[in-house]
Order: sequence, then C-alpha cells, then structure tokens
Amino acid sequence: MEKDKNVKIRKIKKLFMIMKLITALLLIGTLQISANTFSQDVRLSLNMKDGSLAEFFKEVELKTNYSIFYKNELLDLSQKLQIVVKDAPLAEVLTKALAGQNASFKIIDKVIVITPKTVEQLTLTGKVIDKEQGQPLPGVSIMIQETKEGTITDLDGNYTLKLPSTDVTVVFSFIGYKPQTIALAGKTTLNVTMEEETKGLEEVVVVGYGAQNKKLITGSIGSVNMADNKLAPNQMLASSLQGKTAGVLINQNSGTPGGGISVRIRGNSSVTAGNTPLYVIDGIPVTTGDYSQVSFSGQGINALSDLNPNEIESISILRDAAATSIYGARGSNGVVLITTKKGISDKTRVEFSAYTGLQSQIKPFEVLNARQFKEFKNELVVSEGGLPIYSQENIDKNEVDVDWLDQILRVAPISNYDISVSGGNAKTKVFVAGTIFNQDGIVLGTSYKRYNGRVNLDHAVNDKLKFTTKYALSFSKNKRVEGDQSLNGPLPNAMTLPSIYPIYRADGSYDESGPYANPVAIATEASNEANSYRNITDLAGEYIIVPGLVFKTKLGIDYLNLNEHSYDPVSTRQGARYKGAGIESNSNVLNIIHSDLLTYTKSFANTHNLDVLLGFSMENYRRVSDFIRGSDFPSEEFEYLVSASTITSAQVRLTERRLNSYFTSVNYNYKYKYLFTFNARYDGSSKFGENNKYGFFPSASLGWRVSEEEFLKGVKSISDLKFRVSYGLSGNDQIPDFRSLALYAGGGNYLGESGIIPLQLPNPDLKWESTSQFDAGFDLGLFEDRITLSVDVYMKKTTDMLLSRPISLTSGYSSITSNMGELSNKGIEFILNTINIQRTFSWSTTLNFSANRNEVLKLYNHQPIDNVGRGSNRVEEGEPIGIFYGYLSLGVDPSTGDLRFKDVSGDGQITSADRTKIGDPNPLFTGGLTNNLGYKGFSLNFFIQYSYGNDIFNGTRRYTESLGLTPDNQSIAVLDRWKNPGDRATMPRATSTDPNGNNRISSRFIEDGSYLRLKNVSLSYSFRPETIKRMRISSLRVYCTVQNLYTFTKYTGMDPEVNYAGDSNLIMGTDFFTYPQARTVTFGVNMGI
Amino acid sequence: MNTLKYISLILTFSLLMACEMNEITPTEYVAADEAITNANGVKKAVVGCYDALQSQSYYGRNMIIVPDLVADNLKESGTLQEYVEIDNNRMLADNATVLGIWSSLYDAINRANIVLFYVPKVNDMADDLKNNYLGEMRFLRALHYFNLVRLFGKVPLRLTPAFNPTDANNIKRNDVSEVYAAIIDDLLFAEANINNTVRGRATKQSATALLAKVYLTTGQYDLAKQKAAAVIAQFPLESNYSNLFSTEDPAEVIWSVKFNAQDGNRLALYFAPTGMGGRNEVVPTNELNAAFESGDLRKNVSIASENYVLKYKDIATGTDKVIVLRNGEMYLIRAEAELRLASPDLSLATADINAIRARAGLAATAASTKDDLLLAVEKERRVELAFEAQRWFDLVRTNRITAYLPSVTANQILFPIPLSEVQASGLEQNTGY
Repeated sequence: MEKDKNVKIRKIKKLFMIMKLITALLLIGTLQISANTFSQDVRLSLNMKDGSLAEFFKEVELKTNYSIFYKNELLDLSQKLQIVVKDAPLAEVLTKALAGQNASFKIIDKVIVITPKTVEQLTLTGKVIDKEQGQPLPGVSIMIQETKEGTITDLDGNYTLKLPSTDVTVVFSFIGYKPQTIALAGKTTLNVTMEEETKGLEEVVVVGYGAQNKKLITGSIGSVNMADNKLAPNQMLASSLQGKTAGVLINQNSGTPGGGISVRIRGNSSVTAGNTPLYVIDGIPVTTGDYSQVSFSGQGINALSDLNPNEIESISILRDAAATSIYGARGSNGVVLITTKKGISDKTRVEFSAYTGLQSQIKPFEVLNARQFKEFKNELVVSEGGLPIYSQENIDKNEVDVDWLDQILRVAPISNYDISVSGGNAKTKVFVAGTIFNQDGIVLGTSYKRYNGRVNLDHAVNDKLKFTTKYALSFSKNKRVEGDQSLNGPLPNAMTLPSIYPIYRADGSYDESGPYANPVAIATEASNEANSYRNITDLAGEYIIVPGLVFKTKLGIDYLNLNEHSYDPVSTRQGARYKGAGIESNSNVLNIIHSDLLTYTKSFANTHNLDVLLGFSMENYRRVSDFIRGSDFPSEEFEYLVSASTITSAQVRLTERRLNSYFTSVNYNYKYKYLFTFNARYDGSSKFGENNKYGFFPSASLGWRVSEEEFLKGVKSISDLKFRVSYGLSGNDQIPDFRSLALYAGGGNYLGESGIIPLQLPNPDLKWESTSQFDAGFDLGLFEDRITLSVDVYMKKTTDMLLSRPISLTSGYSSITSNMGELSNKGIEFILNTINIQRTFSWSTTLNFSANRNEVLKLYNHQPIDNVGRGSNRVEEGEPIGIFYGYLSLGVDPSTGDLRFKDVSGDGQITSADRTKIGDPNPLFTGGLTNNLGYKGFSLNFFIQYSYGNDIFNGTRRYTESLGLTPDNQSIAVLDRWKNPGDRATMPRATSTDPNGNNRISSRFIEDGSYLRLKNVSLSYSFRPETIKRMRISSLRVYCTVQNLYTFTKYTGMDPEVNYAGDSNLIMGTDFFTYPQARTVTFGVNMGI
Repeated sequence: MNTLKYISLILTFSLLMACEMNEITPTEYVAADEAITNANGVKKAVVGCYDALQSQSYYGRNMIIVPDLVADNLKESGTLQEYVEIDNNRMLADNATVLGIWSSLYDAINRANIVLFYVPKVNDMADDLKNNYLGEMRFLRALHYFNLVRLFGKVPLRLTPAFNPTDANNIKRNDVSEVYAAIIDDLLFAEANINNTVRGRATKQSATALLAKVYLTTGQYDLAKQKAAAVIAQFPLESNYSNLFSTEDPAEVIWSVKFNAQDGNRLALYFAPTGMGGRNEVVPTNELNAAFESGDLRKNVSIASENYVLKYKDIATGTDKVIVLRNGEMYLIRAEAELRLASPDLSLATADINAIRARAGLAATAASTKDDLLLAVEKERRVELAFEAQRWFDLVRTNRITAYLPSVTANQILFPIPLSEVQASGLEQNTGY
C-alpha cells in the first residue's frame, strides 16, 4: 500500500514533469532559450568512483532537485562512470557523464532532457567588410553553391548561414564588387573582405520605391550631395538644388523670405496643368504649392519651405521616363526624391552648426528726387500748353524730398542654428535634429522664422523584421508685405510714390496725399503673417519572408496647417478705407498615403541578376479651408476679427480627392553588363472624367556597360563607360478637382437670399496629360573616375495636354478643361566632374549644362493663348510657351518723340494685328559651375550659376518710365527722354495722354535677361583633429560665405532672376516691382563631437 | 504560409480601399443636372441671375464708370491703363475692362437662359409663379442685350442655354434689328407676366420703363412716350434730389441693383479721393462741372467740391444701390420722344423738362424751339443722370458724339469685340480694331 502510494505520487510527479516538459519543448521551439543560461548557477559536487549512469542520474536529481527525463533505449544506463568534481557547474558535470553516450542534453527550467545526439546544426557566421573603406557591407548575398540556399548581410555586415555540412563552397556577391567563392573546408566562421569591381561603383542612388547602384541605373537621374550645401545659407530646399545638376531649371522668382521658387525639370511639360515636379520625401509624396488665401501674387509661399535642408541626406532628381514612369500620372514633370538622414550604429555623434550674417540690396533703383520730379512735371505741363505747376521758388526751396526706397529697404540679419545627434546599436538607430532659422527681409516688415524638429528611428526586431518611423515637425512664421500686384505693397509704392510727398503730416500721422499709399505706413503698421504648422510622419515595416523576398508596408501622413492673419489698421490707406481691415484664414491639408511593396531580389550564379517590385499605393487628400474678412475695428490695438463690426466675407471650403495606384518595376541584368529595366504604373484618380478614370504608364530602358566588355578591360584610362537608352510614358494630373463635371456653385446671393450659379461645362472624357519621353545618354569615367561625364539627350512629347480651351464667351463660360494640346521639349544636358589636382593642394570642378527647346505643337483650333500677365506672354503653335507678344518698337521718331511701331500687317495703320513675337523668356541654356579648392585645412568653394538667351519683360518700367501718363515717380532713365524735334533719344517724349500709345506693351520694355551670377563663394578652414582633440571635439570648421556676390547681366532692373508671377506656367520672365534677392554675407561654424 | 496569408489580407484590404474612389464627389458644388429640378432650385437659380448684376464688370463697377469715362463726364486720374484707353477713346481689342463687360453680360444671359429652360419642366410650381419667373428672367435678358447692343452693335443673340462645349460653336453676329426685336419681345412678355413687387428685383413697371428706353433708342417715339407716361403715372418724382442717393429705396426709383457688405460694389472705392482711402481712379471732367447751371442743386449731390463723384458713398463695403431705372429719366424720355414725333407738342415736352429743372432748383427752361428743347433735354440728361450709365449711350443715340468729342472717329463709336472672343469663336471684329 505504502509502495502503491509512492508509485502514485511518483506517477503524479511524472505527469507534472511531462507537463513541464511540454512547456519546455514549446519554449524551445519558440524562444530558443539556451540551456546554459539556466544551468549556469547550479553547481554540485560529486564523488562517484565506479557508479552506473543510472546511479549518476539519481544522484544528480537528489543533489540539484532537477528532474532528469530520458528514454531508456537511448542510453546505456549500466555504463560505469568515474566522476569526481567539486562545486562544478551542472552542465559540465552532465557533459562529462554523457561523454561516452550517443546523447546530449538540454536543461529547461528544472528539467534535464536527454536527447539523442544529433549532428549539431552547423552555421556559418561572419562579417563582410569593404576593402577600401573598411566599413561593413550590408546586403551582400551569400549563397551555398551546392544547395543554392543563401542569406544576405545585415546592416552591420554580419550574417548567419545554416550549413548542411562544413564541406561546401560559399559564394559572396554584391553588386559592384568582385564575387568571392570560398570552400569552407570545415570553417564555421568566415570574415570576408570584398573588393570593388570598379572604383565608385558603391554609390547607391535612391530611385522610385527603392535604391539602385549608380552604375547599374538605366534611367536619367541626377543626384545631389547635400554635404556640399553645408556652407551656403540656403534655407529653402529648392534653392539648395539650384545649378547643382543638369536638366533642372530653378528660378528664385523673388527675394521674399520663405517665398516660393519655381522648379522645372526638362522644361515646361504643360501649358495649363502644373509644371512642378512631384516631391517625395522618404517615400511619401508631399504637399507642395501655395496654400495662401491672402493674395500676394508672385511673392507666394510654398509648402516646401517647411522642409529643413539640414535634415536631408540625398536628393535624386528623376528626369527621364525610365525613372519617372513608376510615379505614373504625376511623373511628367520629373520627380524629386528626398531622403532624410538616418541614425548610425556607431559611436554617438553630435553635430552642431551655426551661422549668422547680413543681407543687403544688390543693386539700387534710382528714381527722380523732388527737384527733378517737379521739373519733369513742369516741363510736361508746359509742353502741353499749360502753366507750370511748381514755382521756381518752390523748386529751389525743396522742402520735402523723400527717398522712399531708402525708407523701406534695410540691411537685415540672417541666422541659423542647427543641432543633430545620431547614434544607436545593431538593433536600434536614431537620428534627432533640431533647427532654428531666422531671417529678416531687406524690405521693412518682412521676416521668416522657422523651427524644425525631426526624429528618425530604425528598429530591427530580428533578422527578418524591421520597423522605421520618421517624424518631422516644423513651425514657421512668415511676415510678408503685400506684393507687386497690389496698390498696397511697400516696395512698388516706394518705387513709384514721388519724392515730393512727406512721410508724415505735421501732426505725426502718415501722409496719404500721394497717388499711392504711404509705403512706410504699410511696412510699419500692417501685419501679414503666415503661420505654417507641418508634420510629416512615416511609419514603415519591412519583413524578409525568405531571403530575397521582402514585404514592405508604409503609412505616411503629411499634415499642413497654414494660418494667415492680416490686418491693416486705420493708419494705413487701405485700413483707413475700411476703418481697419482684417483677414483670418486657415488651410488644413491632410494627405494620407498607404503603400505595400513586395520586392524580390535574386542572383542566379551572378550571371542573371533580377530585381522585381510589385506595389500598391493609395493616397487620400483632404483640404479644409476657411477665410474670414472683416472691417471696422474700434482702434489700432484691436487686431483680431473678434473686434470687427462687419464681417464682409466668411467662407469654409472642403475638397477631397483620391489616387489609387498599382505599380511594378523589373530590373534585370546579365553579368552586370547588359542592363534592362521595365517600370509601369496604373493610376486611378478622382480628378478625372468617368470615361477615363484610370491610366497606364509603362517605360523600358536598356543599358550597356561597355567598360565591362573584354575589349575595353585592357584600356586602363577608361574606368567606366555605360550607354543608356530609355522610352516611356508618364502623366500629369495637376489640375483642379472635378473639372470633368458640369457643376453649380452656391454663393450667387442677392438681397440676402442664397442663390446658385452655373460654374463649368462638363467633360466626361477628361484624362491625364501623357508625356512620352525618349532619352539616350552615356556615363563615362576616365582615369579611375577622376573625370566623369554624363551626357543625355532627350525628346519629350506631351500629348492630350490639358488645356483650358477658350470657348466663345457668349456661351456664358470662358473655357473648358480638355485634353487637346501637344508640346515638346528637346534637350541636351551634361555634367562633368573633374578632379584637377589631388595633392596637398586639391582642386575639383563640377560643370553642368542644360539646353532645352520647348515648342508648342498643337493648341485647340490653333488658337493662341494670348495676353497673359503683365508682359503679355503668349502660347502659340510653333513657339515655346510664354513668348512675349506685342508691338515691335522701331525706336523714337526724332521728329515727334513718339515711338514708331512696325506695321506687321502692312495695312498702313497700327492695330492689334501688328502684334508680333517680341521676346522669349525661355533661356537657350542654363547651368552651374562649382569649383572646390583645398589646401591643408583651407578650402575655397565658388559656385557660378548662369542663364543665357532669355528675355525679361520689365513691366516696372511701364510705370517708372510712363513719362507723365501715370502719376508715378520716374526712374532717372527718363532724364534722357526726347525733348525737341531732332533729338535722337531712346526714351520717347513725355506726355500725359500718350495718344501714340508709347506705353503699350512693346519691345520697348523687353530686355536681355541673360546672367552669370557668382551665387556662392565660401572660404572655410577645418581644424586638424590633433589640434581640437583637447577640446573634446572631433571636427571643427569655420567659414565665411558670400551669396550673390556679383551678377554679370545687361538687365537694367534690380535682379535678372525674376518673375512676379512666381510659379506660374504661362507668366514667365516678367518683372513687375518684384522683391529682389539680397546679397548675403554669413559667418559660420560646423562642429562635430 | 502565414506570411502569405497576411500579405493577401493586406492586398485584399488595399483593393477594397481602392474601390472607394468613385465615392469622392464634390463637396462644395452640386452637379448641374441636380441643381434645378424643383421650385426651390428655380428660386435659387433666379437669385443667381440677379447676382450676375453685381459683378465688377457690370453694375458692380464698370457698367457705371465706362459709359461716362468713354464719353465726356469722367476722366481717368488713376493708374489703370485699360481705363486710359477707354478715356482716350483708343481702346485696343485686348482691353480687359471691355472683355470683362462682354463676358459678364453673356454670363448673365446664360444664367437667365438656364432658368428659362428649366422653369417649364418643373412640376411643383403654380403657373403664375412660373410666368413671373419667366418674366423676371426675360426682363434681365433684355437688359443685358440692350447693354450689349448699345456697346458692341451687332452681337450674337443667344436665347437658349449652353449645356455642352459644343453649344459654344458656330457663333454669328445678329443684326442690330434682330437683337432689338428680341429685347422688345422679352420686355413685352415681362411687362405682361411679372407680378413680383420686391424692390431690387424686376417688376412689371421696370419692364415698362425699360421698354420706354428701348423704344426711344429704336426711334419708336410714340411707343416710348406711351411707356414713359405709363410709368410716370405710377411713380412720383422725389422732391429732394439728394434723397435719391442718400436713402435706400426712394419712391422715384423704379428699379435698382442692390448690394450689401458681402456683395459690395467698387464704385465709391474707385471714385473717392485717396485721402479718404479711395482710389480716385476716375474724376468728373471740367466740362461736366461746367454743364451744371449755377444754382443747380444737383451739382453738390453729384460732385464733391474736391471734384470727385458723390453719388456713391460707401468706400469700405460698397453697399450703395445702383439705380438703373428711375422716374426722373422717364420725364426726360417722354419729353424727348414728344419732341422727336412728326408733329411734337412742344408744351408737353417743356413741361416735362421743367418738372426736372424745378426739382433741381432751376427756373423754367428758356428754350422754345424744337431744336433748342432737344438740346435742353440733352443737357438735363447729362447733369440729371450723371454717373448713372447714360452719357455715352445718349451721345451715340442722338449722334452727337462729335459735338463733344471731336476726335472720336466713326469706328470708335462701337467698342471692340474682345480679342479673346474673336480668337475663340472667329467672330467678326468691329471695323477699326
């Protein structure tokens, strides 16, 4: 009975043990906990001189309180053992005891499991590093030749590969490196150093939905190294790209702090749809453009200004169809891919940089002083038979003589402070950055402040699963003044308000007796703030399903809130009219994007290399905006609308759109020599007509790396030579929503009753603009790539161009949006990099050159789009977009002082039929030249930007040289006007009625806008590491930079890089009292800890 | 295999999301075929037709300024080049102000045509209400064409709405007589069918008054006299001229276009001096100033001593009404029509002229012959109706332009057809442009 009980207890004990075991086995399977970790602490002493294995087990169970579990048939329990140990670890003791058995053990919890001794899972581990840099190489593929199984190295170059035996051959391969085939011969660790196949091959370029080795790219992609920008005070993303790569034309348009910049990749591909490229930051297409609701014409702002260039690691500019078609309906205008910095799994690095400087006007604008103005007016009146307005006494006394420009222009400070920390370990990496930027504009009342913060975090859960989050936050406050189109802009008013008007009245209030509002009053008293809050969040996951097959998913959110506050107090002319006028507006723009990608990479014995991507993405855009305007405020102190007695306008708007896309990319190469790429995207958008919701955009490209051919291998001087050719389609969807529908709008109110009005005619066939592009080019590297040259020629043709087709106004509508136009861009571009001298003294040069020829091929009914903007830009077949069209001036007739215009139609009179092409704002070619000179710690960098062959319509002169037709003050150029018959003058006579139309839009106001600008010159000194080691800093550089140092141009206006209409498609190259760029001198320091 | 399950799940989810795209519909607008389907839709679209009158290219600014600027009542003193061209009678075909007038008038016509098209199709509306709306729309359409034909001469006559882009094709200019026939047809219908009495909207009397004006222009003086008399019988003459411009609804006003702070006009803004916050864009000419006889009470109501237009006062929000038809003009129409009859009764005409003069604080007219009386009417119209969109049309109608603006050529009497219209539809341009 007693025994039975014992048996029973034993059985229960055993049951418990089994349960424990099951738990344990489950744990083995899931968590792979190593046996050693638990048994480490358990030690025991044994003195077994001649016991059996069975006795040994009993002894151990007794001494350790562990249970031992085994199968009888597995072990020879009778085997004699001799174990004498003192305070030895359990595992060691067990190993000794089982030495003669065909068994091993595992200790889990308090259970020792004896298992049959299997061949231990063989693994090969090691690290792959790059020979040149000594840096770990991620992504190297390692394959067992016999079984074709393989893996790739992680971000730190480490790998683990399961082996069937140690008697196999392993192949290490990585694009651009010489593959290595190694027979293991029993080794289980193997560190490999990979040697580059050709120098420079390691450069990886970000492409649509991935990254690609530069040498294997078949499309035309320009990449910009952001490290170069460290010394230039470029706080705008686009301006830091200016002149840096071929095929991109960037125009600053104006000097407005925080202002919009126009960017064109390979010309204007569209007439009425947008021409701005698609900007993608870390895979998220971001909101760009001007969301301002308070009109500032060309001095608009751009959502891109919220981005901080200091957080950017690299920028890729996708130019040809091979590169852009994967962005489908948004690829026509090119794509700008921006990658932000990542953390590093290394020693934590802190970088600090700061600069401060001053900005000033580049070129003065000279107007008549009071005496000259009065004399001019008197002469004018007398010549028209009147009596002088100003007596000689008045002129001599000259009591009031205000230099208005001097009153509103200033030398303004600019500064920037930037700190970033990056660090991490093998699993987690982090990059944190913060920036404060502060700029006052050279025009009184303007400033721009921005605060940026960013956290980029990478976490690898295990070898297969990785998460990334990127979080960027910014706030900017842009204080602006009204722009050129308004009658209340300080700059235009200061240029045109005659000097004879005082700034203040006797009582100290602002004088408003002049023809234009007092510019000092506006610049000082009015407020116009644009507060932009921006967040771009990116959550991404990546899972390696099997080696080579990766699934990636992403959720991106781009949120923009633009709040605008505008107030004109009664002390300004505009404010006086309304007894104080205020505007409050908000634009909330939310873009949510979700994308899923599946990528597959496979190399078949390094001969056939395949890269396949399949993807889906969905974007949802929502914009809510409100706008409230009110007037009649109690006093100047009450700035906000809560105090306004009359709300003259209050609006709330909501618009939504959606884009669904499916895309694929296939890259194949044969021995890294013959390259083939196919990309395609299938895009569906809510913007388009029901008959054409979806569009398909494929592209194919071929590359031939001639330098890999045997016949060139012997030519030492040629280090790289690749020919590329591509053809494909991309689209443009930048038109407002719902243009395909016949719609009625509200707001047509009368007598306090709400009414509806027809808005537009329908077009159910509305679809994408489609641009086909052929590109051929080559990349050449000479003398180990000391000289590299990339040349591309392209032909781009846009068909189904979205045109706001003018229709007879008698229909009640002015136009409908339809796909009917065609235009082409043809061009050539090259980038030449040379390392001229590379010794103690070093000198390197980068030259880029782009020439684009734009031609409008087809417009609706051959009808030109005419008379756009202040300079009468025109779109007509056979000409580039935006030519200036007007009367051709033949100069001043010496007998009358009037301009003679060319009678183009030959009918004997000057009518609108005599208008003709009088200029072209499109440059013949543009580019940039960068030189870097270094000697020891010193480096001198200068960057020249040029544009040749473009005309500017100087619309300012229609007012500042109106010669009496308007009340404006005149520029000093009018002093050389025609005065008496026989005078040979370039400036026509003064007249208050201008019966001849001297002031009409004619070639009189067209000027050559070519320029060559020393955009940046910087001199820097880097301290030697030994010198600064004591200060515990690892790098230190001080520098001085001058921006816009000198501009060579014939243009008489303030700045040739100008366009009052900002990013407009059709209004190009027109100056109209535009805020000029400043010359900036900055001193800065970059420090690394 | 689990992984594949997850992936297919995500892809399915993605596809489901994709299907939602077609649900994106306009949030700020309504589809045209859903806009006017019932009585309420008609009512709102009718309001939208009156809204067209408030455009800055129409009674919101240019339709008031331009007829006096192109004539000799106003001159340019600001910076608008397009006004300079108009002032100097040297308009180019690309003049933006002219384009604005043309397009806003045809926009207004199309709005009216749309309502005229839909009203018969609506079921939930009584016939007399339908006829009233038809009448109001035809009154507005007649007014728009009357303005068009007087500025541009032969204009395309569109009596049906445009629903599709093709409706804008094959546009031809109709003869002036055809346009006037359509105007009179519309106005006769309006006169017979409008029963609205809301001020600011068209009434039976406003149709009658406009008919009087049209008949005077077409030379049907008997009818003009008749219609003017019919209106005079129903409306008083405001005893105090200044009341016309200082009160919102003077009894004399037959029809005015109303504005409010949310839909303001820019008249006072363009007239007022810069010191008051105005633009001082156009100012009264010396000739107009001189045209007022001394003691004329209308002068200080019309022109400020600093020489700017006083009839419109609200610079900040532009809420001044714009008088289009008032009884004072009817007296002058009746007088002129009488004088132009084959055998005029000079005493009747004299009485009408004197009624207007008496209110202005002036003695009876000294004119006694038919020709002198016609000159008296011309002068009274000039000062009585200054800045009320009359002067150019008067000079053209009476063929008296060269008497006041000797440099104006015959070709300059008609405005140019806007260049963009000519380019879009190939419409024939007026001679000389």
